[in-house]
This record gives sequence, C-alpha cells and structure tokens, in this order.
Amino acid sequence: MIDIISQLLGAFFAIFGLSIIFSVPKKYLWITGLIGIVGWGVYLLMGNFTDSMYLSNFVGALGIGLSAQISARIFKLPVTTFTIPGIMTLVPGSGMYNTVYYLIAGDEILSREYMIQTLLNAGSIAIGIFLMGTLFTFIFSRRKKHEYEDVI
Amino acid sequence: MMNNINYDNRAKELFNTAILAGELLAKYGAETYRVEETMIRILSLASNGRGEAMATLTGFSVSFNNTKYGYINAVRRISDRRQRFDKIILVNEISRKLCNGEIALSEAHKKLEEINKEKDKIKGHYVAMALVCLSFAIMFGGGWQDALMAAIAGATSAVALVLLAKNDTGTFLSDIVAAFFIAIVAYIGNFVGFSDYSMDITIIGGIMPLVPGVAITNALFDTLHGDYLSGVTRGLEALVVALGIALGIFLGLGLCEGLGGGIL
Repeated sequence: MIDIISQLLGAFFAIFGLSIIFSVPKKYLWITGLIGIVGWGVYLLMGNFTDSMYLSNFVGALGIGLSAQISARIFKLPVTTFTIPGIMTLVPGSGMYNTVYYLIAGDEILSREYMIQTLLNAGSIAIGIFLMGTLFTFIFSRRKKHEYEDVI
Repeated sequence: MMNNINYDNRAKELFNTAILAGELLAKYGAETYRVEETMIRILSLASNGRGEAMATLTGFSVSFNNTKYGYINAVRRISDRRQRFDKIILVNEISRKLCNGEIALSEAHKKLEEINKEKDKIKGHYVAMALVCLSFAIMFGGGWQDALMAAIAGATSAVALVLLAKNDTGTFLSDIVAAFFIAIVAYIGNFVGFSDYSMDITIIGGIMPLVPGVAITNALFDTLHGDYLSGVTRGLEALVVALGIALGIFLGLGLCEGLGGGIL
C-alpha cells in the first residue's frame, strides 16, 4: 500500500515538474499533476485484471483523455495542455532509449524486442487519447464548418 | 513584377497576422492541425479571398488567394522548437477573439508581435528537472538513494543543456552531452557508499525528461489524425533524440568503466 501511494505521489510530482518545464500556466500545474495520478493509478489498477501492458496503457490513456477533455472544457484551454503532460508517465520514452541503446551495444534481438514493445505501447496510448478526443468532439460538436467561398 | 503590385493593406495585414500566429504555434510545439487550422481560420476572415495552409513539423507554407490581386504565398522554416503551453494558450486565445470579432485585426497583430518579442524564461527549470528525475526514480521503484542521485543527475543535465543552448548547439549534440553527464553522475553513485543503490534506476530516472516518449506517441497520433507527413517526421525526430541519449549514456558508462577498471 505504501508502495502504491509513493508511486502515485511520484507520478504527481513528475508531471508537476514536467509541466513547469513545459511552461504550463501556474494555476493549472495541480490539475496536470492530478491527471498524472489518474493515468498512473488506472495503469496500476489494470495490472490486477490483465497481464497485457498494452491494454493497461490503453485504458490508462482513456482515463487521461477523459480527465483532460473535462479539464480543457472547464478551463477553456487547448486540450493538449492537459494530455501531453498527462501521458508523460505512460509514454514509452525509456523503451525508445532501450531500443537504440541495445542496438549500439550490439544486442540486436533485445533491441528489436524493445522496438516492437515501444511502438505498440505508443500506439495504444495514441489510440486511447484519439478515441476519447473523437468521442468528445462527437458529443459536443459545436464547431461550425468553415466555408471558403469567394464573396467578391 | 511582384513589387509593382500594391496589395490592399488589410489583406496584407491579415496575411501577416496569420503567418505570425502559425509561426508562433509551430515554434512552441502546437499540433500540426492546430497550426494549419489557426492560419486558415484567420485567413477566412477576408471576404474577398481564400486561404490554405500546409504544415509539417519543420515548417509550413501558406497561400492566400485574393480575388483582386491573385495569389500571395509564404513559406516559413521552423528550426528551433520547444514545448511552451503558455504561449500556445495565448496565441489560441488571440486567434479565437479575432475570429469572433472581439478584437480588431491591428490589435491582434500587435499582441502577437509582443508574444514574439518576449524572451524565454528558464528560471526554476533546474529545480523542476531535479524534481522530475527524483519522482520518476521513485515511480520506477527506486529507494531514496536512487532518487537523490537521479535528482543530482537531472540538475547536472539541465545545467549542461542550458549552457549548450546558449552556444546554439544542435539538439543532437546537446542530448549526447546531457546524457553523458547523467551516466557519469549515476556511475559516481556506486562509490559514495550507499547500501542499496541501483545505477540503472538512476539512469532511467535521470534521462526521463529527455527521452522522446511524447514524440513517438505524437507521431502515431498524427498518423491516426491523417497527417502522415508530420507523423513520419515526428517518428524520425524521436529516433534521433533516442540515438543521442543512448550514445551519451554509452560513452559516459564506457569512459567510467574504463577509468574505474584502471584506478579503482
């Protein structure tokens, strides 16, 4: 239990710090941190139900997408302000690093394994965020279509 | 020939405003479709013309077809990019207000110019980098020793990155140098006398702010969105950044092990 709490706190402060580096306005730093907790919490929770890392990442991304879309609509900000810091705990940055590291180190089999894992993980997260975004624009589609007709 | 054409001032200012908005968005890491959409929306304010924009990660081209004066075109190369959400939010707000008719064109243009002139503040980034590395080390199951060393490694890499950015070093080289210092700090941790220390967790925690996880996810996201060109460029960017970091760690560890084997 203490382990899980310290991991969630880690996720909060990691996203909080990254949001500072990404220059997210100060009053929203807490929100991005909380979205980070949602993402990592869902990911950890999914570990109880499935062994698939990809499914956990996908559901985690759905959670991040949902909370980010809601926050973006409450504060009237571009949704990426919340999604990009939010997914930082899930995204396979270390996988990308390991892919290239083992390639340089001469272990091609391990490198290939990491590459496939990285691409599938990135794909699951992208699809999760994408689906949630599509769902929200479908429900709240107040956007007017622009017409490009020459008047004169 | 072009010089002889005297463009309608309003059309010219509209076009300049659209380019500036697009340039700021692209420079501060907005998504490709936002860059395109913002420019097209601003240009569609003209009653007697039609605008079209095409953006990728490294630049965009925009054209405006005015019924009176024919085509106006512009191409902008975006070479220096960084993620800054405060600027994206500001530009987004100005473009939204302009398109809703809440502010005048000249005012919007002036505001965008102000954003463009503003200098980047990097105060507090060292502390933030240390905090991020410390938190990731804990998230990956590290103890306090690992977290402490990861924080030191993160701060060191931040100092290296800022110093290199002042000298206009390319991102590839600065990633190598930053990762090199992370590897050295992580290796030193072996000899401080910690009872329970894992060099791997320290290295992974230390490089987390640098690794291109968001870039590779955005590459797939853009591809799903239909921006295939942008997807490919982002994927390549992710690969090059990862290559830089891996090279830096590899060189740093190689150097330390070479020296450590001889001396210690």
